[in-house]
Amino acid sequence: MKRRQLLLGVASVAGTGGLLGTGAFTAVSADRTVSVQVATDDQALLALEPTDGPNGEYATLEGGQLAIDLSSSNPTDAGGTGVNARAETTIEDVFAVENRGTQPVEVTLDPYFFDDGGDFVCVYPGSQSDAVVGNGSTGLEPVTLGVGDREQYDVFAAVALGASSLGGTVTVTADATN
Amino acid sequence: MKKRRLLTILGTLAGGGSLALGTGAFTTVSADRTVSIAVADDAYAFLRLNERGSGERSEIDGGTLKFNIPGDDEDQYPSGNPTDPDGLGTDSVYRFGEDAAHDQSGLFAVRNQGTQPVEVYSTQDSTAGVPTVTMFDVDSGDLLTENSPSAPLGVGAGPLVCGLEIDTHGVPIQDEAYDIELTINAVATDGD
Repeated sequence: MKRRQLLLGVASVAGTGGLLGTGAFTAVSADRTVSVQVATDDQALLALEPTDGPNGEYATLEGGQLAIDLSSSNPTDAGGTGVNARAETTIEDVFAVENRGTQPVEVTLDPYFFDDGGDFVCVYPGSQSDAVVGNGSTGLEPVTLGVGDREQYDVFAAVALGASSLGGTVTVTADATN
Repeated sequence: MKKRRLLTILGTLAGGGSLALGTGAFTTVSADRTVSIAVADDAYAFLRLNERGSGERSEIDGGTLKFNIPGDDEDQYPSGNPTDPDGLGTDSVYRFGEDAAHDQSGLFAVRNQGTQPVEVYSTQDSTAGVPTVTMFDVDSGDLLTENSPSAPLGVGAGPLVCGLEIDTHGVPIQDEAYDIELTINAVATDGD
């Protein structure tokens, strides 16, 4: 008798609040598997890789990550270990960004410019080289890459005298456009 | 099989949560990558520029090539009977194909330590009131200008042995040396 009374009581609570259904719970902790494959940059959804051209030599994929390395740790086959002082150096088609995802993306590099007391280096899309080494100085626009599209990037360094090295960390961002 | 499973899980997440994760798509990727650029002495840089011969008409100074005409050690040559000239004559064209000691051909040399064949030539931003300086190929005698650069200089090939032609027409005589900036250009021959 007592038991029936209790069930009725529960039923009326459920009817009022509605929160506690049959089989309700306050907390559940369940482990599920998420399988994420992390690929080297040249195999990733957003592929970052040295170009196939001669200036791909200036980029590396050490540890699976793209790096632009114009230094003695990545000398050219001919033995060059850096840009000349008191010189402007333009190196076209060093690395490429390719969209291997399924949506168009806008690609930006931030920063794309490193300045050290007037000596500077700029990393920019080859399609916008006029904005950097041309007459126009319009600033860089994001690069829109359709699925399967690819953009090659150039490096420009201007060294008056002072700097012994230039550079830093560039964040490559690709945002879906829709 | 593994791939299909991954897609299913992503599909579940997408259905339950946001639409950000479609099949294999990405909404945002953000990756930090390193750019390191060293500035090298002319002897080790992608465009190697080196002095040739003794007498210091050409010399590496602080890592970069520079020229002094007459050379800093011009007063030591010819050995035993130095001539010690004060400078170039006016309204003249001089060619310097060697340093004062004449112990090596060429006043300087250019070597391509980059990755592409390049054509080499010199330019001078301003020639107003100062001597005009142009580099030339010592072997052929050809002036190397923007319109008529060197033959393609291959990677690791060479070096291209060069001298300087100096034109003093219309340049006044003065005690103080003229300070001239000569630009040595190396431009890849293919657009790649």
